[in-house]
Amino acid sequence: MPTNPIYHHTEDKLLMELKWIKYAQENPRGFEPLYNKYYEQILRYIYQRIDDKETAYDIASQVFLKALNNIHKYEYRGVPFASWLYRIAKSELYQSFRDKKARRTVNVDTSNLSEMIDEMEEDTSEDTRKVLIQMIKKLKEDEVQMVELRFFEKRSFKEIGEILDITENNAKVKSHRVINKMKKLFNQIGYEK
Amino acid sequence: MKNRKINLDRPQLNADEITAGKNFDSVVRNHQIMSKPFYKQSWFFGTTGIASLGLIIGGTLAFQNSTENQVSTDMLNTDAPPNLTVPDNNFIVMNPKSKQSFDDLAKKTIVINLQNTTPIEETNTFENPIETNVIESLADVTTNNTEEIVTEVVPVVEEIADVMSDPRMSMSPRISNKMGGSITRNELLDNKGITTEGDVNIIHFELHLIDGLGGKVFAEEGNQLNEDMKNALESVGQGETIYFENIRGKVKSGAEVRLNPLRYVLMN
Repeated sequence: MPTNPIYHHTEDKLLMELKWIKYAQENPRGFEPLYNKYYEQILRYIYQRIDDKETAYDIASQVFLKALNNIHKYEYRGVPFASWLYRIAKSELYQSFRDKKARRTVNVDTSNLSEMIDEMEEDTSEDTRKVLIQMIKKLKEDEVQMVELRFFEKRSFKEIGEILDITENNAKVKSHRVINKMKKLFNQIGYEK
Repeated sequence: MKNRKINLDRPQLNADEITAGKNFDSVVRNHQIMSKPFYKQSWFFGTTGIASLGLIIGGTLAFQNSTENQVSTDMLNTDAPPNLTVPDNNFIVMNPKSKQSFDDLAKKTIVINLQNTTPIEETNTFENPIETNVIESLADVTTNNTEEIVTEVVPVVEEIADVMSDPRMSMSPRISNKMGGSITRNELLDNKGITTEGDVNIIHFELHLIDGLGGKVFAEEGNQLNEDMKNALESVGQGETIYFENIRGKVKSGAEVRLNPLRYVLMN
């Protein structure tokens, strides 16, 4: 599975990012390079999970505003600044769902489903795809998150761990459990049919 | 959150749509609006806390100092004059004609050894005339360039000794023959004023009266109470204390002596 090149950084890039963060901590205008770098990623992450484009813009602005307001609290932990932004985005998204400002949406790219079906060791027929879509509706929220991050957005376990604030191994374990659960559900739905 | 919608193959955001939503200026503007006012900042709390603490401590110290000053002022206005006894039993003899500085003389302070002196009670009677060992000790200590000082001091000391050695005479001042304790208004206003039994003319004294607001001091060059003093005494009530301080007199030779203060409680 390919990794997100914008998210993953070399040591030099991380240090450069840290320098930008320090600028931003001294002056809000110094936040601009970080905003320019991560705006697209964050907007896509948000839009992937909601139905409305305008709401996605609003939430994205809210995420960066919150980041700027709290930039003085940011602590460098050797991971990209994006992981902090993703966590804020996740929190803002779920706040919007609670406030009923946005509706939770799962955007499935059917071309990515085959990869998921491969991992489930099932055949890639049209029926299987339909069953899979039905199964996503039955998953819990944290399980849907894992499927989205791993299969629809094609993120590495390291990146998933940093976004969900869990270890890389834990991300692997959780992903594996979701696949196992989907296999079981697939068999149940298959028998029902 | 089971109420979720599933979209299949929804088109991704293109570059124009992404740029359309980008507005860093509005983020900064909102940040400035939402920034905490200075009075909610932690540095403000810290500084204010320290300043308040400083004010409290400073105020407490200032209050204590003012109380001490008040006490010392009251004492200055109402209490006894400087002690008549020589501090630490040291007696500095200075010759005005000498070219020696005060510091030089101070180094030659004469120490009167209490073991060699006789108590004053035993020296002012005929049976126990003043011992000359005090003067002798003065002469012993001031060996260099001080002989002339001793010769000038001796007549004054002898004169004072003469006065004090007479049992009928005393340098203690008195009013109506009372040297303290209770006194009536008539006795106080006795036209003899402050007197002594010795041959000493009172040339100065001060009357100190204490009222609720502090003290009043009246001075007179002589031994009689002046009109101001008499008027002030009119307002003194029964049981109140009257002080006569800084009483100075002149002996026969013209030497000035300072006498004991007097304290009376008014009876009527």
